[in-house]
Amino acid sequence: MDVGQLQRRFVEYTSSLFHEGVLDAQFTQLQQLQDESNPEFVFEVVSLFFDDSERILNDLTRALDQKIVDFKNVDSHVHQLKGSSSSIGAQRVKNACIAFRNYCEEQNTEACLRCLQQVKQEYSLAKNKLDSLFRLEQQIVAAGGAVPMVGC
Amino acid sequence: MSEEIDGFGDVSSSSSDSHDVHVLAVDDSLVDRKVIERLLKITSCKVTAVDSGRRALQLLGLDEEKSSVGFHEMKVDMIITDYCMPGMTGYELLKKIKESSTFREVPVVIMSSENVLARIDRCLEEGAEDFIVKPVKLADVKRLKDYMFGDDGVVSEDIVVGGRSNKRKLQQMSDPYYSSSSPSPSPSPSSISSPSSSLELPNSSTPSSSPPHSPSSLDSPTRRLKMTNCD
Repeated sequence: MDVGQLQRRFVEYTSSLFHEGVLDAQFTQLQQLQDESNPEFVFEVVSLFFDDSERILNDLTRALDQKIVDFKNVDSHVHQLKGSSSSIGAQRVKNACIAFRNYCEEQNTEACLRCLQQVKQEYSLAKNKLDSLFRLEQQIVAAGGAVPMVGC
Repeated sequence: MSEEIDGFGDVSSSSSDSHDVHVLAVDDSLVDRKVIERLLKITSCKVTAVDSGRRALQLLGLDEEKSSVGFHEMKVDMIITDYCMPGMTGYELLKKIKESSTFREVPVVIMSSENVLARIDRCLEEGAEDFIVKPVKLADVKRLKDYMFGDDGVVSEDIVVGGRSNKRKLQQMSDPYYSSSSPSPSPSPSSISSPSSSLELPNSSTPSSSPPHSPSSLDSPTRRLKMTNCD
């Protein structure tokens, strides 16, 4: 595939992520912070988000597995994940967290477990999509092209 | 990174532009710290990012547990902190800063993902300069920098008395090193001045008391928008 095709693919793919609500305007904000002096910024932040999220999801799984669930603790983890997903524009993850927090307040273990599943799903989706996006970027750069800016 | 202000040489060791605004950013989230750091750097600020209120107080030399004797106090022009943090909240940090004679004049900005009016009010009442709802955007940081520090950084030759946007500049001029007969506000022996201090001023031109012109937008529409929540 030539650079032009790769770039078009990138634009289409990014646009679809915005359309599907996987990413929101905050992701565009991050892209605007990337430049020659900091060419890997988005990748770095998103990588931090991945590491952070995986840790939180593990903590959540363990917390909800306890005989007596500490909902305050669960809520605080979800709050963290909500914050970081919001900061990178991972909209669906963020929304899943918002729903999750409501059930934490109700102290409803069953519902929380369902929410956790939902959050994990949205997270996996976002991760896969973003991984594909970065791969596309790499291909463009390797082919000597510039990565197009795609607003939402 | 302590800066000794006892000579006439370049005070700032790392940056070529010694008029850079120095911001202390406090956030327990690694992702958010990285973002706020980048946002600040892109708006030409020097940044120190820490992960807790405790750490921030230590850097400022305000930690009660650590004696500040012999501890080089950091010089900051602004503090931006998350509200929700384990241990010490941003609100508690704000209070500690406002209680300190050295740092009470430093503008403190609170960031929070929750747009709760009561929370915003509390922070503003406690002396917070502004309140930003997360996620933080470039426009937010630019706006802050512009109305607090003007568009050329900190101390400049054509400082004019009056005008809110020059409030910070005036306070820096009341630094004891600055010899001037300007009608500045009562000098506080604060170490809040930028690293460049007033020794870098080309001449001791007395600020005129001519009518103030405000170079930066005092009440930018965005700010007004954010403030309407408090009405």
